[in-house]
Amino acid sequence: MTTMRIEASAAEPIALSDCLCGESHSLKEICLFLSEYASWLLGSGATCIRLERNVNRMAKAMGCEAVMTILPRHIHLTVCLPDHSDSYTYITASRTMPISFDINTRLSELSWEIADSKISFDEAKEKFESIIHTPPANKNLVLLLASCANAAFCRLFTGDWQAVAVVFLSTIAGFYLKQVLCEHKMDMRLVFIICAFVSSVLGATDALFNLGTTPEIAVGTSVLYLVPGIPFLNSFSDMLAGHYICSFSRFIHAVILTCCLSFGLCGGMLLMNMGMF
Amino acid sequence: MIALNVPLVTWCVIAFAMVALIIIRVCQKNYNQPAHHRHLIEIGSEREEFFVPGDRLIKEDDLYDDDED
Repeated sequence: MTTMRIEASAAEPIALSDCLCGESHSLKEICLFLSEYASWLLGSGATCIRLERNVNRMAKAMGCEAVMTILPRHIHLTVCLPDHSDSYTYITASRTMPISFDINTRLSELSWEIADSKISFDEAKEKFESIIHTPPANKNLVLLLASCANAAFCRLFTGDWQAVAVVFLSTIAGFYLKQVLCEHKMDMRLVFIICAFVSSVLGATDALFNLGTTPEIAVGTSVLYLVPGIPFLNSFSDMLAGHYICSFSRFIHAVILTCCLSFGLCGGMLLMNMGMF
Repeated sequence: MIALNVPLVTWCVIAFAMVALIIIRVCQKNYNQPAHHRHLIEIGSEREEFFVPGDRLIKEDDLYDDDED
């Protein structure tokens, strides 16, 4: 991770902050920890309001104040003593990683444990290290559950059982392909186009072989697993909280992914001679 | 005639390519982990069944002293 430090003077800050737990730590130590924490929390898919609350909660427990500027790709954090006699500033690049509710929840729990003085600062750093090394969810399980969810969407949109089966299989194929391409670090926009194309072509099985009576629903719902719902929701949440730059950035990111999804879907429908064209 | 065949050819190419990809990946995975025997169906623990994000991982339980002396 690229980090960049800005200091007012060349000398190391010597100001100490008294934690609620009775320990004393330098502002630099606290600032570095909070910056790393904020970077991981933002990368795991948290909203700006959650980020602010968690960091402020921990800073208060550590006996200092924190002020943040949250930018789309960077976090600018300043930690200062309550009497503003000394401060330390650090700029961290936000982590680019898959959204993880597990890491998100566990980091929030960590902030409460620090705020409630259940753990010391050193223990918090150890626990933070263990949280960021949390293994990702089982890929096969995610594949199966995402496919079931997408098939359920098809049924919800009044698709018949043949369409549900087709959507289930096309989602398995598309989602598996997405996992494989992401493993190879392919550009996410390209991944969305390819996966939407593959899923829509396979989703057209219903129409191609006249299996059921709702082929258009099968095609339409076969790509729903690609809809970037979390970026859209986070964008809206950030907008309500007044973080307009982050909100706009997330919204544009989500719109770009949706456009890529649409390109893939249109390509698939065009080649399969489905309705729209 | 061409318009009739294009969807079928496209579907066949995509479907067979995906089947081939899945088979190759599964074979590669099994080839790389020959010694590790896995059951297709296993009886899991209650923790695995009801795990929700934020629950402690199994390895973290070692941090807590639950021994009854």
